[in-house]
Amino acid sequence: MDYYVLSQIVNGLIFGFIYALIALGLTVVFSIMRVVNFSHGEFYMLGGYALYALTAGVVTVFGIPLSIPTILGLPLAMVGVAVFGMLVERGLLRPVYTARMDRPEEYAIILTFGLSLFLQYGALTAVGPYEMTPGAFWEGSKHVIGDLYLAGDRLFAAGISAVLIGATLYFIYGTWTGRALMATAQNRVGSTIVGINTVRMNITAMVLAGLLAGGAGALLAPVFLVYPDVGQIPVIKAFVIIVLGGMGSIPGAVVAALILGLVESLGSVYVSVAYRDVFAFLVLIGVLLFRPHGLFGQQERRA
Amino acid sequence: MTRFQRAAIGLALAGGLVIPFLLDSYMIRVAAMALYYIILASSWNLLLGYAGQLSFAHAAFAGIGAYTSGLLSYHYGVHPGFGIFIGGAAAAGIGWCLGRMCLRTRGPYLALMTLGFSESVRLILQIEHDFTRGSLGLQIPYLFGEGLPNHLLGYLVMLALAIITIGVLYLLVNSEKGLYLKAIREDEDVASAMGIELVKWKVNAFVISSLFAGLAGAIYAHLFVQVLAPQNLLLIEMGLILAMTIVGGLGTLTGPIIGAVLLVVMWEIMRDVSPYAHMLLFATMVIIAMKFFRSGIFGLIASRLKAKGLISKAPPFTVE
Repeated sequence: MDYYVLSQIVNGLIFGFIYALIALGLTVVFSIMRVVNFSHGEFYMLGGYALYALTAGVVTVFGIPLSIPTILGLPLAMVGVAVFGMLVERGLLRPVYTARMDRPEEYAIILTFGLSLFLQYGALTAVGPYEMTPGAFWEGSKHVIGDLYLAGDRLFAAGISAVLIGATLYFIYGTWTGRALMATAQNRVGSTIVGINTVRMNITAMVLAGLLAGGAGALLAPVFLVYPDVGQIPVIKAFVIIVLGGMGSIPGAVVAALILGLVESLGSVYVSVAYRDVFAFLVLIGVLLFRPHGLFGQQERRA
Repeated sequence: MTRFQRAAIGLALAGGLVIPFLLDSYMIRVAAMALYYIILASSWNLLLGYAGQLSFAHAAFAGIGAYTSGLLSYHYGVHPGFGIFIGGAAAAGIGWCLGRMCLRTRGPYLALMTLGFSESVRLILQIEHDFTRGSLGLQIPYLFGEGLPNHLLGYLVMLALAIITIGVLYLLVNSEKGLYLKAIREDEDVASAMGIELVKWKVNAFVISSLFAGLAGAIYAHLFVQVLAPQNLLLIEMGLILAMTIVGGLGTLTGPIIGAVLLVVMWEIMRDVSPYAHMLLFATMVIIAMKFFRSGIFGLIASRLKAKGLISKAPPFTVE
């Protein structure tokens, strides 16, 4: 196999890990709250801006420019976005499952879409349409194998993504809080009866989504820069991934993310590089035509 | 219909006819833009407000209409007078395919699919720049022959299309078919049990709304937009349509009209402030409206008017 194809496969897997990071939060929120968060892409954007603000020395606190190392900026950015996610849950999404409401799904989608526009145009108004570059995590290009070299930042992003995905899976499958999360996803009323605080589970899901999306945004900020609509394309891919994996399925999201990463990379080798971002939509059409409930999803009732 | 409602419709029609003669050329363009958004918001409202289906592809359908007609005249010399109808038909046809695919399943698939669809349409128009001229912009001819566009004439054409759109929507939502759609919106299981073919009527609503979007997009493009670019299809356009419908009042015919006019006026006022501030304000308005008054501005007014007996309480059509 020649190194070009090999490098594209490695690249595809790297992207797969990062897509998985974005899609995991989306699918956890969907499984717990039955809400598709259309502002998830802006969580990703906020992660990038948070990293930039913390590390680039453009923000001053008490006259001292804020410029901490990027490696420390990453967890801080993640926590910042997680707190934001918590506020969104408390302020905007809580009525979806506490109040008696007509068509809560419609409410949630329109509200989060409005929030997405609000954050995008808020960023445009506040900092303008300029692309910003936080410092690198791991500078230079690294020798991997044979003739294969990869940018250090991409390897770092993929590595940290894999660690974060592992930690998330451990949290969900290995801890009691995780079991309570899964129980809430399966049956809200039932889990309330056995003593699970479902409101706290919603907060947990949104915090998890904020941590993961903010982390993805911060990890990719040195590679793809940060600008107000940076989250638009990644979030659409995350939508495709959760549909392909099965809405609300956690292993489905990880597997589907790796599949999409590979499809895009190999598609840009064998079909067309320019169409790279369109493949996701073709995958979406394929899923809806042949397997509407996704790879790991439960069979949806047909309308 | 009460006397008050007839008077309000008459006043709106008279105002729509007389006002452009009092405005300068720039303001006529703004008024025509308001009409364009009235058509888009009203037809989108048929989907969400009446059938309960949330689509993010409405702006993309307007773009498909405009690009179909524009490309036909640019490459093959098709007269825009035919082109606009082909544009509308193309939007309806693609709407049918998309609707058949994602309206079979329940859940948020339509919203996800249409969002992916509209971004893909924009990307493809950008990538295929040899054919579509991509971001350079596609120059398209004026609808009525050579020479400078006559904005007053253009306004009147848009007004006619708006009246046709709202007329068709009025007849539709007050017919038995309209009741099917409302039943689907309220409860799909019950609607299905009553013998309503869910997929068929959802797809029908989707096709009708796409048809009007495509027609409006094509006609507006040939009358007022001289250069088409994929940037016009960004999700901000969808955000505008959504904001107008939600703020004006979902599920009523009057709501989107009020919303479109109000937001276009606010947009004009804010044009001098900042190029992005209007969208920030509209997004805030959407969030506030969804959280505190989901029936929109017209919903607030309508309850007062109903209490005074000025607008009819019962739906004008009931099935025997």
